[in-house]
Amino acid sequence: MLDSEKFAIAAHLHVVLRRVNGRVTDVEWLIHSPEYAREVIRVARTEDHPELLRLADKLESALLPPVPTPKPERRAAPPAESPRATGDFGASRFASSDFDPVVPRQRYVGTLR
Amino acid sequence: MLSAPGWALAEAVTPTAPGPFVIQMTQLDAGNTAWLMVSAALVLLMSVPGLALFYAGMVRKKNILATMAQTLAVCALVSVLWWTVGYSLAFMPGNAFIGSLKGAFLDHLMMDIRTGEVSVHSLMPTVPEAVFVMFQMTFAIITPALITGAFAERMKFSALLWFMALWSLLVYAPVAHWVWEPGGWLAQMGALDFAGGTVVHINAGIAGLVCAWMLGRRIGFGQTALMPANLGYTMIGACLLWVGWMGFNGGSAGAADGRAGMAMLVTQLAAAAAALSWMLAEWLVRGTPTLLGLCSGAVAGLVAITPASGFVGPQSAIVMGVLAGVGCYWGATGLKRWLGADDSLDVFGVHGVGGIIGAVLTGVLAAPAIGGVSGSVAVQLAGVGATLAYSGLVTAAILWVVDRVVGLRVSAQAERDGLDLSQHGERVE
Repeated sequence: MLDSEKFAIAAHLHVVLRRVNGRVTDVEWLIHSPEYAREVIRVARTEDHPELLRLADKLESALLPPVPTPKPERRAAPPAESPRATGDFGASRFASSDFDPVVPRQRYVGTLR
Repeated sequence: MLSAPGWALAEAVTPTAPGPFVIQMTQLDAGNTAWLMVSAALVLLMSVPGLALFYAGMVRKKNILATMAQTLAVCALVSVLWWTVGYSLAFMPGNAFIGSLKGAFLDHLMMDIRTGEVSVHSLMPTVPEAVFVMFQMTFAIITPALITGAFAERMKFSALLWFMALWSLLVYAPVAHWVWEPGGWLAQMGALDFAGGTVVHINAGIAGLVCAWMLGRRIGFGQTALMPANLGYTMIGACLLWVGWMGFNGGSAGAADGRAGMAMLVTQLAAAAAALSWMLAEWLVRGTPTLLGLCSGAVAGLVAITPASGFVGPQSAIVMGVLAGVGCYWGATGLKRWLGADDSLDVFGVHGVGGIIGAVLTGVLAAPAIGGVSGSVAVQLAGVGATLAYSGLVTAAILWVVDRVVGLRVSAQAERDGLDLSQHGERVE
């Protein structure tokens, strides 16, 4: 998840928390400190407020993901070679506009377009 | 609609010298006047809200309002400056480099309904000078407003006002005089710039690049994703720019005539061709045709056809559009990486590169049957080079002075908080 997305969730939680019980959080620090994030999430969950509970869950999954169990190492398969006639766009980039979910693009890093 | 008597009267108005002169109101052309009034409104629409939305969609959410505020503030500031001395410096006869102050505060502007007299400008002698002033004012507004995209998300608002005021008078007005006022040195050389490829786009593009260099990169540039807030705003803004450009180029004919009609047609064709060529280039290189790419391509085509719009026909417009789409895509990606500056919204990549492509191709493709003249690549290159050099150097000097007086850049904390809150005390919830 991008930092900006984490920041957006944290900022949203900040606003709702302030509105519901008047507590003010430090959104920047929330992103950087897991201990602080845990405490803010705990406080948010003490309120019986559906929006706060939803945001607390969301923030927890964004900032404090469960430690993944180790997986057996997998080697990337080489790209399949397929003969293609000149002018055949069936297998070219024109054929699909889908992102490759395995290789997330570094969009908007150092460039806008 | 033009009437036959209107044409006869229009042809009777023959300026004997450059600059304003007085005629009888009955000698005005109602059709031309109406078209120029509409064109002025269309060009104003390009800045507010067109450019404001175009840029606001590309910045992060915490800077949307500040970006919009910048465009609106520039619009107001330059309008008042145009009234003080801007118009006079640009369009009153002076020397080859700058106009005079004879038109300061528009004191010379004549309109007397009792005697039926009205002043007109020699460049558009069948419309009231008030309309000419207004039409040119909208160009003076959008040019510095374009620059704001280069230093988005990090400039102090106070510094922006100082910079824009000085830039408008010290850079825009002289360059407009060189190119458009008949006594200007580039005009004398025969440089062709129908609607502002050099005066507006190359000028703003290079100024933006210098701003990006001198202000430095945004915090996180090149390290984290600086996400555009809402590309829907950008699409709406781009479309407003596209529609408004009909007035930008069509109005620059100075009349509601065949040349204006041809200018509109080639404007549409170049924008469309560039939108498609940018899209295809992006699709080939990166595998995805983006909405931002389509919007950027359209703007690139509009930029490139601007200097040529009164000089070329449909086939040339398609060629220019295709080349501008691909060229500006490179400008906003490969060239941007090579230059290394954080030109936030690619002002140089789109306006600078597109303007240069358009200026050079105008020299190649200008058709005497449409504009009455042929082009010269050498003269066009002289205009490009002079504008790049002058605008770049004076922009750097202005920034240096403003930095010393008020400081150019917001603090790191203010930048992290976003300019909406730190500069304007507002935010988008």
